[in-house]
Amino acid sequence: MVDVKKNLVIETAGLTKIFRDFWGHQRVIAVEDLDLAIHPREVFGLLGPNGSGKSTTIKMLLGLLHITRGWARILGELPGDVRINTHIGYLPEETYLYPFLNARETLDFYGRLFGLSRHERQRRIESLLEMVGLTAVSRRQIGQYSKGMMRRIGLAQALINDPDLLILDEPTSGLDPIGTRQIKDLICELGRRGKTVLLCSHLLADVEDVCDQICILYGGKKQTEGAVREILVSNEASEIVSPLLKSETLTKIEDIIRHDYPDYQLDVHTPRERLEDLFLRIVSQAHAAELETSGAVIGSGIGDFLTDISGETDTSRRVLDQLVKGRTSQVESTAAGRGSGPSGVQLTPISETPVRPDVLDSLTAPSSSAPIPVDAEDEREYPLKKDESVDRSVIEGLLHKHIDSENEKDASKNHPDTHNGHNKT
Amino acid sequence: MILMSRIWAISRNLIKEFLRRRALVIFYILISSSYTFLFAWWIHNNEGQADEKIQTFLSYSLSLTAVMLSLLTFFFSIATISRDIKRKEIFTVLTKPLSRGKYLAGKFLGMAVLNLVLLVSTTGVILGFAYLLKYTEPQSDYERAKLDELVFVARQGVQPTNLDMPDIKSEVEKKVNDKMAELIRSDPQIYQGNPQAVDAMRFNLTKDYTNELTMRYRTAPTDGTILWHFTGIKPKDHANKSVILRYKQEPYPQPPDDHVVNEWMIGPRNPLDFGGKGLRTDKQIVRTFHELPIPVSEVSEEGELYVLYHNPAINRATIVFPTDNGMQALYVAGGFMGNFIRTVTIIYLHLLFSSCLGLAMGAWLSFPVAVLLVLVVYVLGLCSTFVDSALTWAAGETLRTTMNFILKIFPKYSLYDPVPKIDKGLIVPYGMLLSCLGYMVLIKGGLVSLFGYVVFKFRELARVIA
Repeated sequence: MVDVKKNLVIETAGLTKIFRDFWGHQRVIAVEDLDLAIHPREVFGLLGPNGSGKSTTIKMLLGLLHITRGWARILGELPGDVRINTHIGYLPEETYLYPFLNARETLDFYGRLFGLSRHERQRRIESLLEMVGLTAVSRRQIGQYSKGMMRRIGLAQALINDPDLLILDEPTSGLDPIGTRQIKDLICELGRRGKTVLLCSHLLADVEDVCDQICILYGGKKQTEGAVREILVSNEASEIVSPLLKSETLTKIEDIIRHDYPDYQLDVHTPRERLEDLFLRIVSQAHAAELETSGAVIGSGIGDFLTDISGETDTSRRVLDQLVKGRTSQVESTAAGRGSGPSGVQLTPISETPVRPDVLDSLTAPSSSAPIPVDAEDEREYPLKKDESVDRSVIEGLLHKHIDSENEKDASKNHPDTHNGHNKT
Repeated sequence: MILMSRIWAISRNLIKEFLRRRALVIFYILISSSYTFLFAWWIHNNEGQADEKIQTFLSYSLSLTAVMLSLLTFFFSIATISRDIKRKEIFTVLTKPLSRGKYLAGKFLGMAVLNLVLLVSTTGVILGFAYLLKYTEPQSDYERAKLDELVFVARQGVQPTNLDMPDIKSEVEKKVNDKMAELIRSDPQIYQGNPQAVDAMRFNLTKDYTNELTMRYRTAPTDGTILWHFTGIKPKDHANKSVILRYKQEPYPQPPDDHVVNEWMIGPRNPLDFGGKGLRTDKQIVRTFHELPIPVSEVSEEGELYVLYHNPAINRATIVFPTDNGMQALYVAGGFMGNFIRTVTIIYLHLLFSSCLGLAMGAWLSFPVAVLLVLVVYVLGLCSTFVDSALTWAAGETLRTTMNFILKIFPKYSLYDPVPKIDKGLIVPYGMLLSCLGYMVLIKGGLVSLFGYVVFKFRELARVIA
C-alpha cells in the first residue's frame, strides 16, 4: 500500500479546469474550485448531471488533462506521476479497449503493462474472466462484444493490478441489471477489502447503494458533500415494512398512530416487487437451468488475487457469493410467500439489509417481547450497510403495544386470515 | 527488464493491430506479391538481353517495394497513435505505469519489427525471382557470363579526372564578371539597386559557366582526344580478370545512324609518354551506357589507370562524355548477396526514419493532417536532387540559404537510394549505409522523434484535436 501523506488517497484544493479554444479564448469552465478529500478505504461517489465536471475531474487526477488552477494529489503524488499508476485501476466512462484483441489478450496486455509475470497474469486473467462472467467468450474479439460485455471486460482490466485505488467512471453504464448488481456488490466488497473507490456516476441509485461519501457537482462546482447516511436521512417520516397484517392488527396500529399523531396523514399500502428483483430472479432461474447464451453469464464472486483483509479470504468469497445468490433466493421466497401467507412480522430499516425471517418472526410471536439483536456473526453475513439512522423505537414501541394487546385478549396463536404480500405502513 | 517488457507489450500490440486489420494485410500481400510476380512474368515474356531484363526487374521491384512500404509505414504509424488518441484507448494505456516516452518507444519498436518482417519477406521473394530469372533467362553461355559480370556482382565505380583540365575557377569568375557587367548595362532597371537580383544572376551564371567549361574538357572534337586518369582502382583484391570502362557518349551533330566508332589507348602510365594498349570499338549506339573490358594487367600496383580516348575522323561529330557518370571505371569489389543485403538495409533505414516521422506527426496532429504533411515531406525527399537543383534558381541569397536550411531538415531519400546502383551491379557502399544511418536515422530521425516526444508529453490527451 502506498504511504499516503495526511492519510488521504485523493486531495484537491481549488481544482479548476478551463477549456480554451485554439486562440486561447476561454470557452468552458468545466470544474471550478473543487476541494476533495478522499480517505483510504472510502467508497466515494462523485455525483452530478451530464456535463457537471465529474469525468473532467477524474481526467485531471489521472493526468489526462492539465489542471488550469489549484492542485491535486493522488496517492500522495502529483497527477500523471507514472509511479502511482501501479496502484490505480481506472475504468473510463466508456470502455476504451482495443477492439482487435480478445478478452484474454486484453487482460494479458494490461497485465504486461503492470509488469506482471506470465504465471501471475494467467492466474489473474482466469480469475477476472470468471468474475465478470466472460470466460466462455474470452476468445471473441472485443469489437464484437455488446456494450455490457465491454463494460465487464473494462472492469476486469481495471482490476488486473489489484489496485489500491479504483477509479470508476460510470461503471454501470450499459450494463444489464445483473451486471449492475454485480458491480455494485463488487464495489462494496472491494471497499470492505480495503480498497479506496472513487465512483463517478449520474445514476443515483447506484451511488446510494455503495458509497460511504458523496459529493454532488453541478456546473463544475461542488454543491454538497458528506456521508450518504447523513445526507439522505429524513427526519419527517417513519417506515415500517412487515408481512401482510391482519386487518384488525392494521387497524390497531393505525389507531395507535392516529392517537399519538392525530394530525399525521397515514399512508398504508401493499408494496410491489421491484422490477430489478423480478428480473434478477428470472435470469437466475435461466442461469440455473443452464440455458445457452452467447453473451456474458453471471460472474462468480470476486477475483481471488484482489487484496484481502487478512484471514477473511474464504469468508469474503462466501459472503459475496451469498450476496448474489441470497438476494435471488430472497426474491424467490417472497414470491413463494404469496401463496403460503406470512410467517410473521418483518421489520426492516429503510435500507437494503436482507430480511431475516427468524428475527422478524420472533417479533410478532407472542412469546417474544423484543427483537432479537443481530449478532456480530450475522453482521458479517450481510455486509451491505445498515441505515443506523432509522429510529427503531417507534416500530418497537408499536409492536410491544400490539403484543401486549394481543396477550390481553388471549388471542389465538394461529392467524386464520391471511393475504398475499406485505403491508407497508 | 520490466521496463522492456512494458515497451514490448506496446510493440506486440501494434503488430497484432496490423495483423488483425485483415484488409491492410491482404492489401499489402496482394500488392507486393502481384507486382513482383507481374514484373517477373513480364520480364520473362519480353525480348532482350538477360542482363537488361534482370536489371529492369530488380530496379522496378525494389523501388516499388521501398515506396509501398514507406507509404504503409506512414499510414500505419500515424494511424496507430492518432486512433489510440481519437478512440481514447490511450486513456486505459497511459493510466498504467507506462510513461509517454516509453509508449512512443514501444510504438517505434513495433514499427521497426513489423517493417523488418515485411521488408525481409518481400525482398526475399524478389531475390528468389531474381535468381529464378538468372537461371531461366540466359540463352547462351555468353549471356550467363555477362549476367555474372554485370548484374550478380558488386562493382566499385571510380570517377576519373581529366589531366588536360586546368583550374577553371578564375576563368569562370572572369566570364561571370563580364556577363554581369553586360547585363547591368543592358537591363539597368532590373539590376541597379537590386542586389538580390544581381546575386541570383551571379549564382546561376557561375553554375552555368562551370558546367560549360567542365564540359569543354569532357569533349573530344573530330580527330581530337581526351586523357582520363583513374586512381584508387583495387581490382586485385577481388581477383578480377578485367576492369570495366563504363561510358556514355553524346555526339554533336547527331550521326545519321546514331552510331559512332571509338578508339582507346590504355595503360598503367600516361600513354602519351609511354604508349599503351590500343583498342577499337566498332559502331556503338550513342546516348547509351557501354561497358568495355580492360585487362587487369593494365592497372598499376598503385591502382592507377590512364585512358586516352580518340574520336576518329570517320565519326564526323564532336563526342561529349556527360558529367553524370559519362565515364567511369568499374571493378568487382564484392558479391551480389552482400550488395543486396546492404540495399535492403538502406531501404530499412528509410523505413525507420519514416516510422519516426509518422509517429511524431501522429502524436501531434490528427490523421488526415498528419498524412498530408508526411506525404509532402516524402515527395520532397524523393525529389531532393531535383529540389536542390531547382533551388539554385531561387532568387536571392537569403531565400536560397533559408530554403536550403529548411530542406536540410527533410529526408533525402534520393541521396541514399541504393536501387540505381544494385540494378547495374554497382556496389552499394558501406559509406552510404553508414551515412544513411547516421544522418537520416540517428540525426534527422532523432530530431523528429524528439519533437514528437515533447509535443506528446505535454499535450492533453483527453482533448481530441480535430
